[in-house]
Formats: sequence, C-alpha cells, structure tokens
Amino acid sequence: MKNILGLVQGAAARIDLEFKNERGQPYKKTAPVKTKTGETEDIHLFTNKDNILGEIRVTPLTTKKFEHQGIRVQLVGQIELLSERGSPHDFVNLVRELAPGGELQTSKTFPFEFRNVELQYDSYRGSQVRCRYLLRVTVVGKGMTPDSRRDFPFWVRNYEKLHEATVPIKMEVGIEDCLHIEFEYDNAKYHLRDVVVGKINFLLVRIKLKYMEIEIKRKETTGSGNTAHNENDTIAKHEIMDGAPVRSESIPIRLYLSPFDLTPTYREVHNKFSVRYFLNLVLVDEEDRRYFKQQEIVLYRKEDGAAPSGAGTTGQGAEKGPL
Amino acid sequence: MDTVAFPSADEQQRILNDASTAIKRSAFLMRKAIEDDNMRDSLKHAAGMLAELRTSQLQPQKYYELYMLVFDQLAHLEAFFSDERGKGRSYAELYELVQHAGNVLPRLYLMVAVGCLFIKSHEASPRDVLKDLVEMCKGVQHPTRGLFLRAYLCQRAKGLLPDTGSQYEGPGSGSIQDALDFLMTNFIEMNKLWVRLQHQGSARDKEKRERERQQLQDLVGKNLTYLSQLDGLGFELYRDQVLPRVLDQITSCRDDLAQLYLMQALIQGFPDRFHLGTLEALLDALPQLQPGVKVHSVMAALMDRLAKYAASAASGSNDPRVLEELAAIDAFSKFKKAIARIIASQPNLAAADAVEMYTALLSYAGSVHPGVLSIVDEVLAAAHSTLGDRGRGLGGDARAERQLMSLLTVPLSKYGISACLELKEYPLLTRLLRYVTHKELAIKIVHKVLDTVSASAKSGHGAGPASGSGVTHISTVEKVSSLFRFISPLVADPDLPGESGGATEMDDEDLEEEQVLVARLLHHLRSPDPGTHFAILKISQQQLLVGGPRRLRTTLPALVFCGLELHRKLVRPPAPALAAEAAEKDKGKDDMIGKDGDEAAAQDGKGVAPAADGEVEKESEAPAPAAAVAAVEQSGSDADTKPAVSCEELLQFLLAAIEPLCGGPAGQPVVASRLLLACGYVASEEAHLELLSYTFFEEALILYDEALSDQRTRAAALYDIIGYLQRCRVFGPESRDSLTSAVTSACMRLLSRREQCRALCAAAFLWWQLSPGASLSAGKTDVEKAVNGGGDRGTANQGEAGGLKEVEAEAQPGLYPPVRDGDKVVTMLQRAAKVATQAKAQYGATGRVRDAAYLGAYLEVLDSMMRFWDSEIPGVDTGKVQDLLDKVQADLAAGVQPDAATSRRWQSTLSYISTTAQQPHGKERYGKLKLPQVP
Repeated sequence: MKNILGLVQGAAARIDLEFKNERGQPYKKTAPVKTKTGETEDIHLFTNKDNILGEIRVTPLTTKKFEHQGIRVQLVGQIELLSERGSPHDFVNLVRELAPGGELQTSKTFPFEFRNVELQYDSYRGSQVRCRYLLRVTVVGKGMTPDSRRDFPFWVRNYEKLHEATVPIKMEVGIEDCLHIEFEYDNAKYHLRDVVVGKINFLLVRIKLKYMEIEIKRKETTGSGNTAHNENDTIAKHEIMDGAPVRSESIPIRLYLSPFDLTPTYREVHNKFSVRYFLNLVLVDEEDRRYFKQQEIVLYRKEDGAAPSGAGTTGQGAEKGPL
Repeated sequence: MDTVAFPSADEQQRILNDASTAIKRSAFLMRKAIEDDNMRDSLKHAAGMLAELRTSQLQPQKYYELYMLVFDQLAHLEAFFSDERGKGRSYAELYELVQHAGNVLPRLYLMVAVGCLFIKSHEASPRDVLKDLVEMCKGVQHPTRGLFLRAYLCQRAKGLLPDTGSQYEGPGSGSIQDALDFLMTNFIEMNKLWVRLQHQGSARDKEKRERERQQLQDLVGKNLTYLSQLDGLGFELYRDQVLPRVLDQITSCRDDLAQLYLMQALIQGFPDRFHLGTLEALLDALPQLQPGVKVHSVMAALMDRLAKYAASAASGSNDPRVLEELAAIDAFSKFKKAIARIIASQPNLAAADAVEMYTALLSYAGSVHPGVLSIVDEVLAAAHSTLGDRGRGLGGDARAERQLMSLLTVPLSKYGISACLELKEYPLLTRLLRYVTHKELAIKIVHKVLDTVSASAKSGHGAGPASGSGVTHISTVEKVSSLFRFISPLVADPDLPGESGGATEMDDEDLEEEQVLVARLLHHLRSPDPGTHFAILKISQQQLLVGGPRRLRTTLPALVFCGLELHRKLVRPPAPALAAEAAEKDKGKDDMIGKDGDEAAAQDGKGVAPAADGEVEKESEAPAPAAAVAAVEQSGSDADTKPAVSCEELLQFLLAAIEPLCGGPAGQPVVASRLLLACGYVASEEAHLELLSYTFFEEALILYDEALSDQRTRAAALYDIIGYLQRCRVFGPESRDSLTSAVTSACMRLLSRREQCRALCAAAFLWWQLSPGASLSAGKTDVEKAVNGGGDRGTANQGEAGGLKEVEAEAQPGLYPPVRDGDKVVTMLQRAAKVATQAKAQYGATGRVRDAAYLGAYLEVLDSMMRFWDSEIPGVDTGKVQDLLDKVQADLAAGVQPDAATSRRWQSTLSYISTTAQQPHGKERYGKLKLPQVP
C-alpha cells in the first residue's frame, strides 16, 4: 500500500552517494563497462577485501518537515539468472544503519564504510546471467512518506597470481587420409592482455583449404546437472592463414587478446553459473566445409593489472613469442 | 572463392575495375582519417583497402595492377605512421596495434609497413623484426597473394638489412648473417609459393599458367639479386651458406620452370669469382634437376659466363690470374665430366641439347685455352661418342643437326681454319650431318679460308705461311687432304645412295656457283716448298676427280692455273734481284694468263664473252701480284735449295689434269684448248721443254680438229693457237714446221673464205717472231682497226705484231732465236690473197650481196700486208700493197656493195694511210702509196 502511494507521490528525498578513499578524497578507480545498450560507462571498481568508503547525502524533496524511520545502506552482491528473473540470489548482504528514525530538515551527509568486504566474485554481465554488486541506500518512510531508495552499482574485479607453471597445449588431430595437423598453443592459461602464440603444422593435406582462423568462444553455463543450460558466443575471429598450405608447412599463430571483451574464466560461481573460454581452430576448405578443433583455455586477470585501460603495456615486453 | 579456373578476361577486367574503385574509395577514406589524425579509422580503411588484395579471381598480371595501386597508397599510411611516432606513439605500440586486424593479408601488409619503419627508427633490432615478419608471412599460403606480399616485404626491407657496414648492423641489431637468413628464408618461401602456383586452376590452362608464372619469376629472383648485392657477402659466406641452401631449394622444388630460372638467376646474379670457387657444387647440382629442365642452357650459360670472364680478364686489367685459376681447378675437365654426367642421367635428353652443351664447352675452351687443339679434339670426340649411334642426319633430328652445325662452326671462328684442319674428330662429326647440311658447313669453311684475315696468324698458332696480305694458305699435304675431307660435299656426291643434294639435283648455275668456291679455294692451297706444293696439287687433283665431270668443268681449270703458278716459281732465277725482275715480268704475263684462267673458271667455258673481260681481269689481278710478291720473299730464303720437283713432272701432271676437259662428259674443248696452249707456252718459254710443249700444241690442234664444231669457236681457238705458237721459241725447225703447217691447214679448214683469209693472215705472223718483252702498245691502232672492221674478237697476234721492229734479242739457252722468214710470210699472205680471190670468184658465181664480204677478205690481207710492209720485212714491198689497194678500189668502182663494217674499215685504212703520209716518219713510205679517190 505504501509502495503504491509512494509511487504516486514519488520519492520524498534525493539520495546521492560518493565513493571516497581513505583520505576522504573522491574514489577514482573505475572500469569501463558495456551496458545492455552497447554504451560504455565508467563504474567504480573494487577488489575483494577492499574497504568501501563513502558519503551518502540525503536531500529532502519536500519543503515540509521530512520524517523518516531510519536511513541505512546495504552492500548487496547478487547473481541473477535470466531464467529466474526478478528473484536474484544475494550472496552478500551487509547493512549499515546510518541514522535512526527522525526528522531531516535539510540535506544531510552520512559517511559510511564497509571494511574488508568479501567481494568474492567478479562482476559479470553475460547473456544468461549476471553477477553484480551494489550499494543500496534506503530512507525508510514514515506515515504517508514513502521509502526513498537508490541503488549504486559498483564493479568488482579480482586479480589472480598464476601459481602453477603453465603447460603448452599441444595436440595432433586429423581426419584419416585427409587432413592431419598438429597444433600448439604456448599456454593453457592466459591473462586477459596476453598473446596467444602458437603454430600449426600440417602433417597431411589432401583437401584444398581456403583459409584458417581462430575463434575465441565463450560458453556460459547456468544451472547444473539436468537443468544445466549452455550458451555459446563467438567473441572473436582471427584469420591466421590465407590459401592452401601443403604438407610440412608451418603456420604461425599470434593472437592478441587485449582487443576483445573477455573476462576471466569462472567456474561454478556460487554454484550458479560458469563462464569458460575456448580457442576454436577452424579450417575451411574450398567447398566451405569447416573442420575445427576446440580447446579450452583458462583466462585470468593478472595481478598487476595496474593499467586498466589503453593499448596495453608498452615496449618490447608486450611482444611475446618469436619476437 | 578459389575457382577451378580464372574467370574470362572480360570478367576479370570487370573485377579489377571494381576492386580498383573500392581501393580508391578506401584509400580516400584512409587519407581523410589520416588528415583527421584518427589512427583507428586510418587503420580500418587501410585494412579495407588491403582487403581488396584478397581476391582470388585475378590472374597474376591483373593482380599486379591491383597491387601497384595499393602499394602507392601504402606510402601515405607509412608517412602517417612516422608522424604518429613524432606524437609520442611508439612503433612497438603500432606494431601490436596493426596485428589486431582480423584478416591475415591486410594484417601482414600493415605489419610489414610498420615493421620497416620500426627498424628505420632504430627502436627495434632489425634482426628480430625481420625474423618476425618473414616468419609471420607464412600465414599467406595462397601463391599469388603470398608472392606479392613477400615481394613487398623484400622490397621494403631491402635497405634495412643489417648488412656489413650498414647502419643497421650491430651486436644487438644483427649481422650479415641475419640479413642473409632473412633473404634466404624469404627466397625459399617465395619459391615454394611460385612452384605451387602451377597447381592453381585447371589442367587445361597449364600452358597459359606457365606463361603467367614466368612473368612472376623476377619477384622470386629479386631475393637472389638482393643477396648478391649485400656488401658483406664474401666468398666464404657464399660458398658455405648461400649456395648450398639455394641449390638445395632448387633441386628439392622439383619444378622445371623454377629450376631453370633459378639456376640461371644464380649464375647470372653472383660474381664470376664465386662461380669459379664453387664450380664443383654448381655442376653437381645439374644432374639432379628435373628431366624437363633445359640443363644444357644452364650449362651453356655457366660456361659462357666463365668464358667471358676469362676473356675479359685476359684482355683487361681485371685480374690476370683468372686464367690460371681456371686452369688450376681444371674447369674444363669438370665441365666435360658434368656434361657426361648430365647426358648419362637424362636418357631422354634431346641430341640437340647435348650438342648445345658441347658447343658452349667449346666456346669456353676457345676463350680459356686458346690454341690448345687437343682440347677441341677432346670435346669433339665426346660429342661424337654421344651422337655416334644416331647415324647420318642424326636420325632426322633437324634441330640437333642445326646445333651440330653450330658446334662445328665454333672451332672455325675460335681457332682459325688452319688449326682446325688438324682436328681428327672433326670429319667424324661432319659425317653425322646430312649431305646438304654438311655442304652448308663446307661452304662456310671455304668462305673462312677465302675471307679471313688469317686468324691463325693472329693467334700465332697457324702453320700456314700467312703472307703479308693476310691471306690464309693451307700449306701442308696433311692439311690439304684433311681440308678435302672437311669439305667433301663440295667435291663429291653423297656416298650414301639415295641421299639428296648431289650434283645431279642441281642446275648448272647453282653447281657452278658452288664449284667456283672450290676453284677459288684451290688458290689458297699452296706451300712455299715446291715439292710440297706439287704434292698438294696432286692430292687436290685426286680429290677433284672424285667429284665427277660436272664439277671438274669448273674446278680443273683453276687447278691447272695453280700448277702453272707453281711452275713459274720453279723456273724463277734464284737470285733475289733477278727474282724481282722476274716477278715484274711474271706480273705482265700473269695478267694475261690470269685473265684467261679466271674467265674459264667464271664462264665455265661457255664460249667467250668479251664484255666480261674487264671485270674478270680486275678480280684476278688482286691476288696474283700478292702471290708473286710472297713468292719473291720466299725465293730469297729458298735460294739454295733445289726444287724437289722438276718442271717436266709438273707439266706432265698438268697435261694429265687437263685431259678430262678435252672430251667426255666433262668436255670443255674451248677451255681445254686454252689451257693446253697456256701450258704449251709455259713449257716452251719457261721450261724450255720442246717435246712437252709440242705435245700441248698437238693436243690443242687435235682438239681443234675433233672437238670444235662451231665456226666461231673454231676460229677463236685457232687464233689462240696461233697467238701462243707465235711466241714460242723452243721449237726446232722440224717441230715448228710441222706445227705451222698443221696450223696452216687448219686455217684452210675454216669454212668461210673470209675467215680462212683472216686466219692465214694471222698465221703469217708465225714466221716472224718478235723477241720477248717487246712493247705491246705499238699495235694499238691495229687492234682498234681490227675491232672496228672485223667485229670479231681482237686476237693476241695482232697486238703482238706491234713490236715487230724490235727484233734483236740475245739468244737464251734452250731457245731458238726468233724465226724471221720473210719469204714464208709473203707466201702466207699470197695464199691469203688467193683465198680472197676465190671468194671474189664465189661472189661472181652467186651474185649474192652477202658474198660481197669477200672485200673484207681483201682488206684483211691488205691490213696484214701493210703491217709487214710497215715493219719493213723483206719481201713485202710497196708494190704488193699498192696492188691490193688497187684491187679493192677497182671492185668498189665496179659497184660491189660492201657491208657497212667493211666499208668503215676501208675508210679507216685509207685515212690511216693518208694521215701517216702527212707525218714526217711515215712520209717516206706512205707517200709512195697512191690512194684512190674517196667517193
């Protein structure tokens, strides 16, 4: 009932939120994130165990006396599946009471802080599922005054250090008496600004190939067991060979991952979903038949991702492999 | 997209136009983005432009047009890139950025463009960037696209290689080794693509495709060119690194076109010095090439190259040690072995190709080992053993035959004919030619002898005594006989029955033209040593006799004159001073003899053509004096040696030589008669052999009687006889009498009275000989008169008669003094007058106008009479002359109409008398004559 009336009347107060750093200055770290409409917006970026500090300013919109039953801020982490729309699953929910019920004359600023928050999962926006974080500020209404509430999303990225030594992917595949190739990627794990380096050796070629490309594929899995649902997306296509090779030819691969919109590989996020990546080697012959071999790679976000945007690291270090 | 065959030409043109438009549009947008300083868009449009190069629809030529279009536009982009760097964007960044392009071909073009700038900026090590580029380019496996991409790479990177001494060299940036590796890798990859190009499209268009491939060959070859242009490429590096890898690529690509082109590019691209050191490796590679490769042309190119190198080194200041080096590594036998190996390894090798290799080898040998004949023989032997089993005409392989011809021509030009005659293998090889072809070669050889300014003299090798005028002489018996073997088709018919091209198939004119060559050749077969010379003549005669009558007609007269020339040498007084005199004298005679001889040779004895005289004479004069001079020089040194051959033998030989001409199939009575007379004269005046001389004249007279039928010819022959006989002084009274009377009776056997009369008048001179060396000019007017009046050919006797007054000369040993018998002269003249009278009687009997020519007969007698009278010969007095004058005048007065010539002659006789009578020296005699009144 209140809600209905509140809708009619509109929010009674304006709520603003500003992220601050420890020294009380505005929090600058952001990440560019694509919205559903395809635009890019900059969202404040945090990492697991970060302290999230800030100030909330509540400005009453009425000239009348503004009464409320309390002001609080929640930190919510939730996973929302397309299939169960409208009932997101909160995996984090922390509350800070900012003010007890009372009266607000003019706008007032309330500092808040969540210290050492468990931001276990990365923010993620996929086609089937999203994982998001937000700060929800609620001013509980009193009497005829409806609740005023506003969500402030923020973005979470976690960084990983590579612990185990990486092993190259090496594999020989083929169709008997038709095509035998041996391919090699230098790693099974890549960070997001990495370069995939490898090569393809043609051991036997009896078909006339037209070209060869590498696709980067993303597989989103939601649910588990029988209800599991997979959604595949081709993120990128990268032609690596033009024309028909002959036996014993060796074709180099160098694929920069940075231009593509990739995330780390996520496995069983809160038992709700997984995001996995594959390199798909596709050979197309003159009759447009496709021969392919899909190989999973693990993507991770490298710890020292200090430079979040731009054309990647500079200098020779960016070049991997033969160079 | 990759269709089986390219679309039609029109369709391709359309595609090309569309693509060009698209490129221009993208290029425009790209430039616009560049102006706006928008990197992302410039790259996008550049990639769009480059994407047009991804077409598979165009054949290489059209694709090239597209490529050039893009190439020009890429320059803008490069300029932009270097601007960007000025704005703080590093090339490393750019280098990565361009690699984000999704399609491999545009990506690689952009990489190359940036990569090269990257090197130029010294920000990156050339070694690393080049290595990366050349490796990444493997991504394009389509032949045409790959070739052009790599050509672009190669072209852009050319100036950026870490070559020795270049600014890009350094411990961090690479060395010559890296430059080498880059070019070699690119070369190998390009070659692979190029070879693969042949498998594009359908088998039907194979030929067309091969042509297209050929147009692309230079793209591949560029790599080798750049390699050879590296400053740091020393010999060791070439030998140890470049050559083995290039050769390996060439042999392993197993493609005819590529192997041929690359071998040639290799040979032409790198310095001679390198080839010299790696000859073995090069030659070893040849047998491994595909059977379809024209190994011979590769081989030939290599040998030619080295031969030229050797030649330039020998002549110029380059490096005098080259020849030694070549000799040191024994290049020749290596070549020879290599050829043998190639022939052994390729059983299907065309004979022509094998021969072509030998031809090149021979040219090589000629340049590098000038004057070493054994080598030539070796080559010829090898060629022979290769071809030996193919038989005459090489089994109908015309191309091979042509090639063999050129093989056989090489020694002629490189070593000179004289040296070649010592080659034992040469005739064996010529035997493989068909008769007709061999004849062509023979003609070439003959021309070589006739034309060359003796090559042998130049190379200091020839055995022939090349005289000062540079005429080639073949001067030993062995050489002469081998020469005849060389030119056998000119002197004999094919020895295989059924072979075409023999004398029977040629018309007279062609045969004659051909044989005139042989005749001319004979004059070059001579030796300073008379014995040898004689032997040469004998061999020549034998050889000529094989040729059959039709050839003999032309060749024998020349032979006889050669013999006479030798004879003159034999009888020449040994002292040099006298020899010079004799030579002078000979020259005079030679004019005449040469004239007759050449005329005989040139006219093939077909009667006498006065008009040709002047010309022929000029021709013959040139060699004759030269020969005389040469002989004089020679006689100085040979003064003491006795001739190994006697005049007698020689003349006997000549007599035998002339014989075939006298009768039978080769019969040339007129020529034979002249030859006999010339010989007879020589026998008399030079050899003083009465009996032989007699025989010659006897033969001539017999010929006159038996073989000559045509009246004119008979008369001419008779005058010849009289002319020669008149000058012969060897005969004693008996022989002379019998010859003279034979001549006299021969005169009477002429048919027309007038001819009889004229001949008798001429014969009268037989009784009044003049001494040798008498002036010839005095008789000029008479000759003129004779020509005017008689219309017949001026005969020698009248000319000779001009000097009748200068009769005194000391007697020579073996010769009788000149005969001076006025009575006999008068008798003869009277006989002539009698004949004239008979002719008059004949006119009286027939009344035919034609017979009025008897007046001419009278005039003949009158003129002769006046000559004698003029010379104050005893017995010829004024009365007799006057008598004749009156007779003629009387008949004219009686109304006999003489023909025009006769009346002209009459007039000129009269005017001669009257003008001479006016002059002081003739007044006394001629004044006595009473001239009739001119009507």
